[in-house]
Amino acid sequence: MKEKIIEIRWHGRGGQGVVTCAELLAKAAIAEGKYAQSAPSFGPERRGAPVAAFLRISNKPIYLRSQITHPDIVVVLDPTILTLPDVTAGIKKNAIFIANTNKLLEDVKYILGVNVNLGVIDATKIALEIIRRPITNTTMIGSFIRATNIVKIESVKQEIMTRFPTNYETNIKAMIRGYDELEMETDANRTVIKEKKDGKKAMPKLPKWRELTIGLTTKAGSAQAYKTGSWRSLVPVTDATKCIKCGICWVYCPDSARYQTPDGTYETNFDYCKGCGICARECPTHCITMQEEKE
Amino acid sequence: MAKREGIEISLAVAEAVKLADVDMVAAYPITPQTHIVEKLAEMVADGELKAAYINAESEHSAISLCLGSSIAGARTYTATSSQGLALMHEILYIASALRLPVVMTVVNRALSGPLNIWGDHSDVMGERDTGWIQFFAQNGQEAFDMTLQAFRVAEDHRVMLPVIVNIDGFTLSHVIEPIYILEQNEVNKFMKEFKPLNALDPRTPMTFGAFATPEYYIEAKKQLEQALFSSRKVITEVWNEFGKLYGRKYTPIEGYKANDANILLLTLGGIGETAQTAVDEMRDDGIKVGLLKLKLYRPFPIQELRRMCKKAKTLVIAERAMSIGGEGGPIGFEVRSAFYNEPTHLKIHDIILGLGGRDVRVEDFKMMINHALKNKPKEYELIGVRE
Amino acid sequence: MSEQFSVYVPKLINKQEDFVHGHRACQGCGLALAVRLILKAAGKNTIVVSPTGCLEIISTPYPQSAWNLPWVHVAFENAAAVAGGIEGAFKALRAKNKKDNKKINIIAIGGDGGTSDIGLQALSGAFERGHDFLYVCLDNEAYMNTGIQRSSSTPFGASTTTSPSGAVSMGQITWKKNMAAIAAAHNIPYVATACPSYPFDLMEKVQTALKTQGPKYIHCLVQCPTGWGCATDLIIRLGSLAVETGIFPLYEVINGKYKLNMDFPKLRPVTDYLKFQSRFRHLKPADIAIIQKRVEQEWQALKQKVECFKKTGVK
Repeated sequence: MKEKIIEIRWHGRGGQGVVTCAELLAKAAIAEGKYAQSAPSFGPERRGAPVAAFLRISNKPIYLRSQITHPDIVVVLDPTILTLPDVTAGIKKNAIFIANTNKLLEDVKYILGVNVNLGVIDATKIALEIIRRPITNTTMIGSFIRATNIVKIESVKQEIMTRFPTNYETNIKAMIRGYDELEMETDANRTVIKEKKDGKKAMPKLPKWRELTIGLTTKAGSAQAYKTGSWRSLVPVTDATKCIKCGICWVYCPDSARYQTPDGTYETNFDYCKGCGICARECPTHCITMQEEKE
Repeated sequence: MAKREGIEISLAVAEAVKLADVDMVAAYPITPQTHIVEKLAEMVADGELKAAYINAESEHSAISLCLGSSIAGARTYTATSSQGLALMHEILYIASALRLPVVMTVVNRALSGPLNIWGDHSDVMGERDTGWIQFFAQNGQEAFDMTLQAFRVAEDHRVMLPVIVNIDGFTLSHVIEPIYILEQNEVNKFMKEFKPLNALDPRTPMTFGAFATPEYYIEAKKQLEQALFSSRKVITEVWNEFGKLYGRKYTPIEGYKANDANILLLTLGGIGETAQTAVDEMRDDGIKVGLLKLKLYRPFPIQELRRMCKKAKTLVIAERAMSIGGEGGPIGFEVRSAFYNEPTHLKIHDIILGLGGRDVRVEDFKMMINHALKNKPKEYELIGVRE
Repeated sequence: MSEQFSVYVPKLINKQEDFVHGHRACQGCGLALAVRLILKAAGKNTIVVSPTGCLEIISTPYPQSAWNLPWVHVAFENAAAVAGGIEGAFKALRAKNKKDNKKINIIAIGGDGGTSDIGLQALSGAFERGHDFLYVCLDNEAYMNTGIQRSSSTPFGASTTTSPSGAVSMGQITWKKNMAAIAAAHNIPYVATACPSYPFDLMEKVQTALKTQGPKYIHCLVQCPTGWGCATDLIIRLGSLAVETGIFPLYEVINGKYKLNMDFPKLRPVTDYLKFQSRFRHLKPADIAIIQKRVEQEWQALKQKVECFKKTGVK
């Protein structure tokens, strides 16, 4: 790997520290005398939305400013976005892929549909135990170091101490557990699957300039085509027997993601619910509880 | 029949706006644009012009009011100068991107600093890349005619772009001269009803002004650029129709004794007529000099320019704006690059003069021509400076 | 849907959704909720103008739009001017019989930056000229769109990315600009404050405003979990706490006459509101005491205005 620039793409949700991962590792690599470059992706999506960050590490100066389209390594911080086509888009053959998940390694491979060199870790569980919040970035850094051996755990420790002066201890602890508990495929136990063809055509066909509307006018209400349900990490579960049909949850939902069923009780529109939890908090009979999202 | 009137050019422009039956005028006063908007306010107050006249609290708001008005489906007009135009800068790009056929008179004035209320083209040269169609008038008649033509071109569904009509501050705007003012019934033969492509209407809800990510931005700009380029065809059509109706012919570049000239002058705006007199006098002296008056600045008539310069050996550009730190003036850059890849030996002299209202005289043009006949061109020359 | 089940709220509120799901607002966005409610109150015959900001970015990435109503965005500082242009154009077109006389509501909805900072001049101009339109400021108390930089609407003591708390800084050191008072000083016929934690109050105010001729202004506090550093499910509670502590009183100024919509015999201590937000976490008891004092002073001043108009009998 000496002469090569290693390109790493990080996936997670806005607010989970995806960009922090790329930054901490870039700084650690630079501190080791290597060359590195970290960059966030910019877009209109907000907290909770799937986001990506980019990292390049090399032993030589990096003369590249373009986006990473064919990563050597992909790390996914959030278990609920493994099914999104973005995570495998353009991935190199036999790339390293590290996923935060509580699923079995073989199952994840089938979900991804590509023959990557896979590692899995239940980082959410670790983060909840140590940091007490499902912020998995430092845990995933640990797994990343173990799987790739590109930067030293000591140098990342230094960066974590600088970055989190008040709570670096828990973050370092989480990183070490991420390092220790990663389950990585080896040549001996590799699962090979038949690759899904559709994994490669992730990019939708975009209109030509003549096909744009004059003056870029847009059809009213067309945003409904964009399903924000994938932003959710917690899901509202409604006990209809306790619902008094008052509609408070419907009124207070910023995403109009509660609707009245024919029997008058309210249910969640899972295509759009972002999992903010307002409905659960405001329901006068507490008939809604927020539970961890399952794929 | 059109009346031949001795009228101040600003007021003639206001007459044209009235004859175009605009629905909305929103403006903020700035010298030397004031006479136009004062007259329009008076016309609205007297009930002569049925339109909303809105006194904005800044030029930024004036142009924003115009965008709101145009997108609501009203024929919309404004006028400004200098700092006012600079304050509008941001919104000018959005007007063309939203494809709103607002018509604006820019009474050209120097930009501060130092503050200077007199004429040059530094204000509008800053708006070169905003996506507006731009005309330059060289006299009162053209200012009047072009104002009417601007609405026809802007509102054509094949175009749908805003138009600036440039008239020189003071040396045109405040001058009284004979102008044929058309009668309303004559104008009605030329003007068409304004039908917006899309308007704000709750019955047909639509979103205007969405933002574009990198996946769409270039395509959006290409669409705008192509609209601006293809407006040439419509401009020619409109000018031909205007010529048939009223007998006054318009072309993107007006040539004067240009066909057999060895040396050509190129001007924008009112100095073109002074240059014309210089050409006449020099022709009497046996110098084969001609003149090109650029009337359509955007879209830039590159083919016409190349064609009209075919026989000449030398081209002298006389322009009233600087590009400080660049080796030339904005017109100089554009004209030179028009010939760079052409099989031509045309020598191009870029002369900057008449900044901040400094008078431009017949002798200046004669001096420029004589100088250009004897000397090799430099990158540019700023003339009239006390050294 | 059988009628008997829609007993409470749904019966009272317009079911039409004109700010549709699929918008890209953060989880628990108070701004998105407020817009949804405002549009429910305004109804179909409405045109919305927005300046640049969070609202614009989350709702209109080309080729999609979350707006079911006609909507236009031009730039950051000119929403009031664009709205004024639309209103002026409609007036002119009606006078020339080019448009029918059916009433169309024109609402400009901007953020605190687009209203109290960069858009203040255009807004003042539009108020002064008397355009018949409603301007709603959705105040989330900082430039959230660009990453939580302070605005003139950021409250005293709040830590933002450009007014950070630090070794020698307690965060924002200026007091929140009182936009409702600035609007009222233009002598416009209707000014109100609101918050989506009180959805009926907000919607009623929108409807009252739209029934009033001339320029109207509603200053609406909207919760921003990302910028305020609070739990996403807490935002409704936080809005109520802002009101109950007197930090954000709900009132109307109708033709110059002040009316308090929610009075409290005793205000809750401001800490009840501040403690749930990380932007205030660094504040020391002494800082909080300053805020408490100021809130009480302003509350009293507001009540005096209300009383004063009661006594003088100004209608």
